[in-house]
Amino acid sequence: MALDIQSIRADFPILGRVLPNGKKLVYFDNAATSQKPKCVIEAMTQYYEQYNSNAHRANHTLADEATAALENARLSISRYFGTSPANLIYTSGATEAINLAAYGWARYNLERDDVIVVTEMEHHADIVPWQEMSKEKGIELRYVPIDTKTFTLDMDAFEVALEGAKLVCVVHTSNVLGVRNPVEDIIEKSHAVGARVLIDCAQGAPHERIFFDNLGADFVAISAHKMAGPTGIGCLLVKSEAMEQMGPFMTGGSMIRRVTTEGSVFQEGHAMFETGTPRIAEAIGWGAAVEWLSQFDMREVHSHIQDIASWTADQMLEIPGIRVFGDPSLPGSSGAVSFLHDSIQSQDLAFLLDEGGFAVRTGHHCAQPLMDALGVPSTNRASFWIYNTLDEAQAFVSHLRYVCERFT
Amino acid sequence: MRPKHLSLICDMCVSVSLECDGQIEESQSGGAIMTERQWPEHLDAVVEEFQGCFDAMERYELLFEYAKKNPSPLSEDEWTDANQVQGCQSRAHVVCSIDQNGHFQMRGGADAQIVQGLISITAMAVNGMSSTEVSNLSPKYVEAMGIRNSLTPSRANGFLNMFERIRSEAEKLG
Repeated sequence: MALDIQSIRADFPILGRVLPNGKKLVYFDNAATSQKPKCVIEAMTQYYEQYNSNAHRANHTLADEATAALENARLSISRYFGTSPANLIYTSGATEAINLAAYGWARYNLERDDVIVVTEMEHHADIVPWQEMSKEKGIELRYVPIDTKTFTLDMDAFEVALEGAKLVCVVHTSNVLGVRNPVEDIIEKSHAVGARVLIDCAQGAPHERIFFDNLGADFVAISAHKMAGPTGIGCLLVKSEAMEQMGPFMTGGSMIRRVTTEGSVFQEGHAMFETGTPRIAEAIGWGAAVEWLSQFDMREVHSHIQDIASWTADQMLEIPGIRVFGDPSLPGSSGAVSFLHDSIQSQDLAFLLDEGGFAVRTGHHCAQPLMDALGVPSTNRASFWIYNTLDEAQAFVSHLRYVCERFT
Repeated sequence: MRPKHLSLICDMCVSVSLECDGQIEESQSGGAIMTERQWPEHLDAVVEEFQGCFDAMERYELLFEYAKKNPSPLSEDEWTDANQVQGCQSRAHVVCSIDQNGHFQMRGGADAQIVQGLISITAMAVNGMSSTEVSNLSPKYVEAMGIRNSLTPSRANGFLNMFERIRSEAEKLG
């Protein structure tokens, strides 16, 4: 059954927003954060209005309701990602999830001269923690290059880099190029050499169902806010045997069994890594978001997004001076279309597009090694999601063409 | 720190409203009327030129023209890390100094034309002032020009970061 985009749009109050300059909002910055459906906003509001209380602490009614809602959300979210609640550690987002893998697993299990493989395509969140771990432990960090003609990972170089690797960290879908990496192949090859694998699914999860147990990765990092959930929450999905190898990352309240002046005994499982007051409202909101997303076939959603992205990229390439980085028509590519004009600087172009009501991202997208590989300091990026329409894309291309003609 | 203003006619007044679109602001305190300038007088013509634009696109077009006539450019070999203004989305560089007459001088360059245009206009504003006047300058003229996006307090805002850099250099040079 085809998606009813107008009905989907009706779930997002913000999409009716008129900007201060009188232009109607066209939101194409979904790879930065998605908008939130009413059910997510209402679930969080209801928590604050009806049963706001701290979870896992007290025995009064509100505390019981808050605890139940927090754990029910864990159940919904873990089901959505095809795994058990025991394998889901709440974090503040994908960045904290990757830091948790670095400081909670790599710090306890890797030694001097061990090898971690990352790629040039990674977001800084999947580079900087490993650089820090490399400094702290004397670990070798290898970067797999991209082929700048096809905008895909150089898989021959990946296989060379894999030799002796203990950990492989790869982005599922590039936030800049929209390219989906062959993560199944990467996981299989990495496991064959005995390496554990972390997949950064911050951009992948909004575009396809990630079934953690079937995927086979040891760690998967996810942010809620890019998939209709609230900001401030995400998770690290961890295989049970990898979680058993982990030690504490942040310490303090909630993650302990017993504290004496002599020392502390920690909780086991995910509780060891969820320090302090949980992100209760955010977890409830994310739970509502995955329930909302569950009504759709994500293959249809992805097809809808890819149609808009491919059409937009093709049209952009007909505008003199515009270059597009990535190929939205590649199988699995997300709705991110990065582009650059050869004489209108990217920030200037973003301001000029904003005047037309079009919200796009500008900058290095927290992926400076990728920018270096592409030979550009920054790009503009239009990124589409479930509620965007071809009409919006047509209006966008029309405004972009007008801006390019007027300002060159 | 809340910016001070270029000239305070009445220093007895204790409250000043910053919500004003014009170059002259009046506020009343204890029966006394205070008038103060929001930007140097020689910028009035520039601000009026922008205010006369038909729409935002025309304002940006004008700003692109100001970018081309930067009165005190910075050669690209001076685009060094030390001179760089931190900002995610554009590369802007400024150099500030005091000339032989004791006047503040700035030179700047940016890859973004909108930031470059604002650098040009800011150079027109501050060059020749005392460093104290520069450190007390407010970026109100940009708001009055109708370049609204340039004043959002974002870490990625090239102009605002550049403006703060100039003010902080002026404080040091003073």
